[in-house]
Amino acid sequence: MQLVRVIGVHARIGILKDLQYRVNLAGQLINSALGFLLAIGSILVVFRHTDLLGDWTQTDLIMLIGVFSIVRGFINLFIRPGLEAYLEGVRTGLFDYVLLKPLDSQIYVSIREFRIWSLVDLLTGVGLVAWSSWNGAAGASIGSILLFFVAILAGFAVVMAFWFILGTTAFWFIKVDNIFVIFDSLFQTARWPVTIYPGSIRTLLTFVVPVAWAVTMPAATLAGKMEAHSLWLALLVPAFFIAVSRIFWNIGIRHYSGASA
Amino acid sequence: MRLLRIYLLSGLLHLKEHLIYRASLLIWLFSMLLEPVVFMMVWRAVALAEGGSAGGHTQGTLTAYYMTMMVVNHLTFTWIMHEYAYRIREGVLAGQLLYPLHPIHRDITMNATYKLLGLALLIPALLMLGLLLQPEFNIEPWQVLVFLPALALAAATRFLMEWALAQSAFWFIENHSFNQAYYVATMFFSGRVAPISMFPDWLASVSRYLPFWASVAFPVETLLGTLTPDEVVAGLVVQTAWLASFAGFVAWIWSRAIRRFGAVGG
Repeated sequence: MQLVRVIGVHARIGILKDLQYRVNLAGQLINSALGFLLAIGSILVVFRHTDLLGDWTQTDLIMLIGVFSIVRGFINLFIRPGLEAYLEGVRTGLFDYVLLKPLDSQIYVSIREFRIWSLVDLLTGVGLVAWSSWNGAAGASIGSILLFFVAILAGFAVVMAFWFILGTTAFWFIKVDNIFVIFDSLFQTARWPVTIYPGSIRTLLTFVVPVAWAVTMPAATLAGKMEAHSLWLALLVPAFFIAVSRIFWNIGIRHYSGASA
Repeated sequence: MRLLRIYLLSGLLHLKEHLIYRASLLIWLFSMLLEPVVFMMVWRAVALAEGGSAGGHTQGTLTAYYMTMMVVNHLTFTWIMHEYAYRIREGVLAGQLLYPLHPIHRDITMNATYKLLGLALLIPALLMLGLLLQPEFNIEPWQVLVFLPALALAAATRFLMEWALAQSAFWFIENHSFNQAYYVATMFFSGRVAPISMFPDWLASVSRYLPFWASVAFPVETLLGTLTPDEVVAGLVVQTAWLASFAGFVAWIWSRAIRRFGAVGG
């Protein structure tokens, strides 16, 4: 209950902060539109030459791009800004103040910054998913929509845990800004269903860098490509990633010695 | 002669500068190499779904296309557009203007040395892809002979084009959206999303007059022999025309841009 209030307060501060820079909304709108153009254009070119990519139709893939947009919006809304502030804090010593707060440090780090203009990406994604489900992305049904919500929440959890595992390395290496480059480039692979990649890369994208769980899995669920029983995995894997990130964070935090006085 | 010595000396300096950031270098290169691999996989999947060939490309020739694309994209790309706003804002440019030399020369050596170091990751990546994916290269000697000047012209054209567009930072302090628009255009029209021949015919023929094609896809297609000799000659003419236009444009826009510069920092 108290946690909800803390999140609410930080969200409000974030909104107030971003409302000062309203021109950034225009920039975000242009960037989202351009990203949309690139993604849809690529799909159209691909589907000039085939009707099915793996077992994905054109509408399925547009839905996948929608899910991709949602997850990217979610990441940029608060995971990335929170982590940026945290990395800066480890380098400058401001992280001391995080530790002094009477709140779990990992939770606090992940909820304290919001960039609300990223909602544009998120809403574009929701629009695309809704449009393509309406237009018959394979097997969208009430059941698959419910499962979709479960799967996408699981996806959020995996992505968040993965970011934390990357970010925790800052306790040892201090300056790890390049994790953003690593993640962004790997995340690009999620614009397409993981099934198009050859075996070894697919395994890598599923179990080491879990982009498959974040995007392909929810999209496949909504398109009715997932058996209900394999959804067990979709819940076990996030639980595993969260546990690992939690343990790693607690080990890492013991290496933090402060950078200032 | 003097310029050559300057290039040599500043080249050595930049080489050492890049080597300070070895880990970043590797990470940046990795992320650049991943993009063509993703599209290679997409098109290989399409060819596979269509019984081995799509739009006249087989899995093997598509693999060869994107492997060549990796090399050409690496040798022609610049990061100047993403850096220029920062350079102006943080006063880096103010310092560079004090040298008795046009700042473009610094960018040339910096870019060239980065490319050289990048080969250290590019070559193993190509060898690995070559072993794993069986690319189909049908390269004849004359194609290699035309490829080299086409590549040089492409690199020069792309460098001048992106250098000129980077000057937009003098007008817009935050030119991220402008750069993003350029990125989307170049993804499509320089053959990175798909070989140009995969587009509808009208779009493909328009693309062949654009600077994006001239500065990336043209050398790729020349080496792979997908162009007739007539098309190769036409491509070289298009490249030369764009190169000359951008050279003129750079001179013109730089003289305008620099007048707008109010020094920041120092």
